[in-house]
Amino acid sequence: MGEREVLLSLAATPGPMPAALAPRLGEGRDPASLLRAHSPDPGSVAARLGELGVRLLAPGDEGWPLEATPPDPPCAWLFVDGPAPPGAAASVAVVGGRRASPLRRAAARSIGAGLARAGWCVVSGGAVGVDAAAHAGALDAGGRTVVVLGCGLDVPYPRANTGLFARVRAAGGTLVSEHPLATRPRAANFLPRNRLIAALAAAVVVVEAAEDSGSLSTARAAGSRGAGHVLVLPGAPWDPGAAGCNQLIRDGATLVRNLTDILEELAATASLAAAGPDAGPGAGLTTGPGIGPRAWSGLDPPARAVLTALIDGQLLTPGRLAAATDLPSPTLDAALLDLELSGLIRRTAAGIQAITLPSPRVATAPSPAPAVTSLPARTVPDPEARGPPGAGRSRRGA
Amino acid sequence: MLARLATAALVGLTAHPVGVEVDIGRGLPAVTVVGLGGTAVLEARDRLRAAFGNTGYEWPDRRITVSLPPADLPKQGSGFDLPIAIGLLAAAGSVPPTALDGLWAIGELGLGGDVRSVKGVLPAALAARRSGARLLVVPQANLVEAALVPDLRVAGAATLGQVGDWLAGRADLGRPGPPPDTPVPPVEDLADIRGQRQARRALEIAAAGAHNLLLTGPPGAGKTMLARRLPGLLPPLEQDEALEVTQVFSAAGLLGPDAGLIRIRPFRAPHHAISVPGLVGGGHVPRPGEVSLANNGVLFLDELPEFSRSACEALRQPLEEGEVTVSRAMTTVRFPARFALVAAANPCPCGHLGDSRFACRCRLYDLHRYASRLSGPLLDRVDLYVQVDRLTADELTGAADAEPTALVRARVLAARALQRTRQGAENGRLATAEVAVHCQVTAPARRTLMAAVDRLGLSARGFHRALRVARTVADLAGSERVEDHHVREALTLRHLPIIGDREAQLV
Repeated sequence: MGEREVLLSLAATPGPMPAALAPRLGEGRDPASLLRAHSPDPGSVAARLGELGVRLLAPGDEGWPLEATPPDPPCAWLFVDGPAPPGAAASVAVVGGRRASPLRRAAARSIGAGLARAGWCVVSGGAVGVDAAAHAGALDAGGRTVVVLGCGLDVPYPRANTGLFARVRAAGGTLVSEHPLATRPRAANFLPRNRLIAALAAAVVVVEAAEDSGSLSTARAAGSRGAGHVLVLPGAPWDPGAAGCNQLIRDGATLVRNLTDILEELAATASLAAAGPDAGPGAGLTTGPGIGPRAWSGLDPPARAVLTALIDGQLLTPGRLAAATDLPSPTLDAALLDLELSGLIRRTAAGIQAITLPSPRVATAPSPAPAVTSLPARTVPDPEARGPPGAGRSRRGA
Repeated sequence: MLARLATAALVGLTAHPVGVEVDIGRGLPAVTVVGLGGTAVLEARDRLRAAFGNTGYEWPDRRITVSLPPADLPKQGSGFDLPIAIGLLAAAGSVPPTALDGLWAIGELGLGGDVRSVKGVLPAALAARRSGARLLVVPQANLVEAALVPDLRVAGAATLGQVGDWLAGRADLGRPGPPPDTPVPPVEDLADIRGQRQARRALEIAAAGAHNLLLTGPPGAGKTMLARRLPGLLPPLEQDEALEVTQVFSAAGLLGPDAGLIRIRPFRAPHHAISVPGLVGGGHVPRPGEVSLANNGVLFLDELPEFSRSACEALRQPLEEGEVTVSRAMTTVRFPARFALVAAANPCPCGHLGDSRFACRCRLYDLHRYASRLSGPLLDRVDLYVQVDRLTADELTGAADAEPTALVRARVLAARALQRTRQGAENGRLATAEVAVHCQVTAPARRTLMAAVDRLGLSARGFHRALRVARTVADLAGSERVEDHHVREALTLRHLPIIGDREAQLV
């Protein structure tokens, strides 16, 4: 067996964590000595990879994206579906939780789109929630995106995102994974996966991070390269979805309020000239300055009070909302229905959440790019992006 | 010697007249019971022999034949002991045969000769009156129950010896006193509830329009406490409704000794592990299930998603038709099952989604599974959806501000009267075609509804639901027209998804 065949067989061997094997290869161990009895035949592996259009990239190969930013523990190979990832110099990771609030998901989508417009490739983990929003944002803007999976490239996980992945492939994006084909998404796969996300990007933008969350591990992996590589959207101290974010900021990460801040930081840290401030319009985020309840001139006071109470993106039951706004119940009910009908909040059986906030109307200075400044509130996702009929089945029983 | 009298066999809720013929003839000593008697009926032989001995009566050591016509009706239970004993005493010659003309009897005998209470005495008494019985003898403990039937003479027996003395003309049996004037027990009052304005309002609307209701909220938020207040908001039981309720409880054997007419609407809260027969009725001898015990009252299903899918399926017929049919090889039985449904559910499997005090620990996958269990045919019949919050310390210790049940019930009664004159049925029972006729809304209200269809993803079913509920809200306000604010209130009580699925799925 040639060196390449040995590597192919080793990479396709189910069982040992790739992240555990790589350091041993780095110590100069002979790859052939690491092969197991059940290691597959390199010929059949190559045939199966060829069938799926997947390549195996290893250090030294053309297009190996981790040359400049080796992860720790190191990475010995990557299965790649699509063109080789552009590498850290041209990419930014956007991460957050699966159950992030709608506001933070909308922010992730807006950031993904803004980064793509500024010429950055958006890297994330392909999970539902913030990850999917970031990928979708990049695709919305016609940009590149890289999905780093914690399972085999032929394993449709998460099922709800299979449509999104098809969209990524169709748009010339890339799906990568360290794991052999058919690897199930085990919980243990995801922490090592996160170090790859960090290594594949110049900086990690943390949109949402609860305490002890996976986003936090990605941020810490990026943070080992320097504080300037971790950009964090802050949150209120009582917002559980921001606990990790605020912790990161306290630990020295860079606080960003909007896309302008992000692009500024990137220009300072990264070498990519295209990421200069003139590369893209300063798409505002809800967390941008000057957006306060007083600016929502189109809303009546009860509606403003409700939105103010929901501004952290948290889920409040009607009772909590009544306590927070101090509105009499009939007024509150009327305001809630108005806000629902205008598409600003969402009610579920668990409570009420803001979906988006209305764009502030600043009387003096007209907004430079209205289409961009407002969040994609009513964006109707591509039918493709909703996933296959089975996966996106609506359970709305009403 | 032959003796004839009558008793009744319970089939479902109704009792059928059954003759009891006892013949003592020549031959080797033996007791034969003919006429499709079940195990308990055949065992009467042994109970009778012991009861006779312990009362001091001589057991006729001859050939005894007991027939229970009609011979093709299956008979179950121990209520045949007493009529057979009376027949034996008569056939043995100690009683003139004419004493048994028009006599009905029902009751079980203990080995010591005591007469024990049985279930189904009220249906038996109704059957006796229909057949023109002269007198019905029942166990003393069932005397109050039997006396509920007007125009029927009833007597209570405590022991077999008492019956024998009465047959011989030496003493009389227990006679019913004047109907006990038991005060209607106080209902649980709405005024006890603190906070929960929306839930209290939903109970009012549910009572006024006969709408079914789903309460969601974390454990300990007071869902059960709220549901218990619904029977008190419903109109008082009419005489025939009360009789029907008592009949079901009698047939199920749930009437206590000396129990009279049930005067308050029943509240049944079966556990979610209940079997399908336990819920809708069934068994070898069909007996009423929880839905029939909740007839004319409230059925409360706490932890709705924990009920088996088959149990929820089985609730469909009673919800749609107001009765259940239990089919068995020998019989098909109908039980009434017209109840108000109140269901309760946690917002998610761990119960803490949206809870300010505890973080929800459910995985997204579990939420989706839970959401799918919380949909389906049962909830199609539910019009009102309310979120119930855990109370804050302020609300718990604050002054009670809720209206008392009596005040709310007055509004409910007025709204029900409006519905009766308009359409002859409650709004919650209107079919889709009738909704279009009776639930006309004003132009602004229609615009709001269309906006809801457009922006809130209101389905066709949700649309009709909102119309029905809005009609009830207008009726409660005494308004002939359904205005915009009525529709808006109805929309705040609409079905809400567990999670915002579309966003959770994609972005």
